Amino acid sequence: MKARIVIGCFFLLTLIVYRSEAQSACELTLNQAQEEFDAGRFYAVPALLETCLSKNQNRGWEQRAHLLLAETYLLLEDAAKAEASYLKVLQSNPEFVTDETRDPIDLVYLSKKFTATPIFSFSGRLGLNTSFIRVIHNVRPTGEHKASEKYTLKAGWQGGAGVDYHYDENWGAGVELNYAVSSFGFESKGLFDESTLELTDQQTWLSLPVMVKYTRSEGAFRPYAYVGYSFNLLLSVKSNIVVDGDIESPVYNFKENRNKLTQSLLVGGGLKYKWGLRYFFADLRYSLGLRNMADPDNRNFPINDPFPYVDDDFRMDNLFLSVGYIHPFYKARKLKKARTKSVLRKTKGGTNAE
Amino acid sequence: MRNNFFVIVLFFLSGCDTGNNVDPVYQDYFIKYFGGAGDQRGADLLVNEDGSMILLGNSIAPSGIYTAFITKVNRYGNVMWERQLGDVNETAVDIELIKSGSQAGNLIVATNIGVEANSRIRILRLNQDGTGIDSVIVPLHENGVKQVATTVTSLVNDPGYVVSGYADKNLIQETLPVSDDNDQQDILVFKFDESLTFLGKVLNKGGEKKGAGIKTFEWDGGITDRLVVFGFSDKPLPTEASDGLFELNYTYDAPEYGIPTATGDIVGTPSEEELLATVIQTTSPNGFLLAGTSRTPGNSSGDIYLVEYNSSFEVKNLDVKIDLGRSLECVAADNTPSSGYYILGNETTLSGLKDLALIKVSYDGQAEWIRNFGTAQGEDTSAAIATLPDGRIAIVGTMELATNKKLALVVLNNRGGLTK
Repeated sequence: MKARIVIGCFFLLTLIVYRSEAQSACELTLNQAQEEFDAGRFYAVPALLETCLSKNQNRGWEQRAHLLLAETYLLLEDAAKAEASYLKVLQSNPEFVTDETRDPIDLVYLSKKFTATPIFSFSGRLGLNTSFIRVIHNVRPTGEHKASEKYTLKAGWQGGAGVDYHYDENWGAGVELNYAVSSFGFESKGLFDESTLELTDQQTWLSLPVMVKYTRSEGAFRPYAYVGYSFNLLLSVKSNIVVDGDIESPVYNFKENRNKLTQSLLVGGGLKYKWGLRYFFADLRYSLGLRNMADPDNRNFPINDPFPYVDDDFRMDNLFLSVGYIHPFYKARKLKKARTKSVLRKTKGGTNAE
Repeated sequence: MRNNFFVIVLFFLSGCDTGNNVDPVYQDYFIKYFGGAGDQRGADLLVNEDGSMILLGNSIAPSGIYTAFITKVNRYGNVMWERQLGDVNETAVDIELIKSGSQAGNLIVATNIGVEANSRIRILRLNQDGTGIDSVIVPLHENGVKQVATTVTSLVNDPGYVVSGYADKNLIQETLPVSDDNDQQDILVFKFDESLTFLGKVLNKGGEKKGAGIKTFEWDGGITDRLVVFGFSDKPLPTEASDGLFELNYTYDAPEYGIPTATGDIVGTPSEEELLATVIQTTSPNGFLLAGTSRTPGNSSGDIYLVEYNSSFEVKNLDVKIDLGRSLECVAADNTPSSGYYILGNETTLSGLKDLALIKVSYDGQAEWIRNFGTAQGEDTSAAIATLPDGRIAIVGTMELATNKKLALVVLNNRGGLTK
């Protein structure tokens, strides 16, 4: 066994040394190609780089090599190959942008025909939530309203995944599939003059939010905001009632007494932190419940139960705080409509000035 | 573009449930509990023409002291007023609307004062706003102290009140067929005039070990101001087969102010005892429905037993034991708005505890459906039933909650359900 591990390590080490030597050789080749380019011997550049390009290289090397090739083909007036090389620059580094002060104007002009911004990105999230109850009709199981009643906040949690479609660098639309466990409490004091009743109601939800988003596209920290609409499917309800502090009910399933499909309006925002080509984010979302949670046709009448609780007609709002990860799927591609006007204006402006 | 945006926003918001588009369904069909500290038990129910309801109940404080209370609720079951009735250790049993005379529209209530061995009867009159008008305690009889009311009847033709109930053995010194030692209770019915002046006994029958007047009605039997008293008695039938057999049966008598007459009947099955619980006047055809329990002697429950007479007592339309294979005890009955009767009772479950049982019975005595209500591990009992003006059914009973026993008002649809 030990012998196998030693042989494996030796093999791995050999591979690393080999690759390292190969990259060092290609680094020299790239420097040589750059020298040929600087010397005006453009035709020699592609041939020099050809061997190294056929091997796997690191992304930095590939970016520089393809950029050199793109400039070379521009000077050789081979537009097709220049475009192909620039596309490979973006495939190596999707966030590469030309610099008018650093790069030749024809390369800048070429770059405006391409983009590598992501069309879709995937995100995953996890966080905490709490629920706010808004009563539509107060429904009491007693004939006299002597008891004081209030809803209390309880914590829940949620997790989910989503896909964003990026219309452009700022605007986009997203759809998510979230699983949430939300909870609220209800307290009634002075019930029948002297009793208390406490309810803890925990629901599990599967929700499908659809949103329109605006995101700032620059900087390490990128704030964003969105509005949306969510379809929510109630999966289960667990309710527990305690009377007079120590008489505890069994766990009830009020699912059949609630509306199983509800909708809500969403408004939210957050901050994305750029980490390489990916993002981490913190998100705060308010979900405004639109539907009555109680099913009036199947209300939980406490007619066969010793715990005198009946659902109000109520809507439920939620506040979600989530953190998560965004993985953009960059796609290097040629634009259908090149954004070259600004470059042309500058070029003409420069010519006029001369 | 802007218009489209607003259309989309309106579309989404139109799906919002608000107080304007969510029906407060719990106002139509519901169960509501009433009471304060201690136990509260339901006793009776009266429905007004406007759909409001008067609930009669008894409260037992943690100290053991019991008091009667009365509550008026609107058609949604919300309390309009409530007040204590009478004194401590007083039990309310029946309430009726005063049907004629200067107090028409007000309420008459019958209560029993004191523990059973010393029980005396009080009748009280109240306004519809709960304020007391007056009350009177039935005078003690020279031979005894125990007098128990079961119901009170407001008379129409000769405004006044009749109390049905029973008295203990001391009221009538009996000879045969019951010796005084075996005499437990005798049918007792007496009358008050409109000013609550005691007019004396309407009926005071013996000859039984156990008997009680359950309900008295005015009856047009061809004689002016005739009454008919329904009850139960174990007085043996005047036949050789039943000689010495003291078995409870339904009875009725049409006495002429204290003088028993030959107008009467005893009805029941030969091998079981029949305990009358309630009597209602029927409308289709006009007559009387007697509802109670047919049971093996010694048992507290059995089967529902119904007897229906026409208004002249010449025809017995119904004489049926409804065998549902359950352990039932009849408590109350009412006419349905369409056809048939609602029978309210208690069902003893396998655990030995009681639940409320509501049975719809057709005119020919067939049970059409039965509904049970009651907490899983509590002793829940029925008290009264009434059909509301809009066809809903109102039931008053007692439910044993996790807190205490509470008076329960259950309002159901005409199929015994809690939804439309």
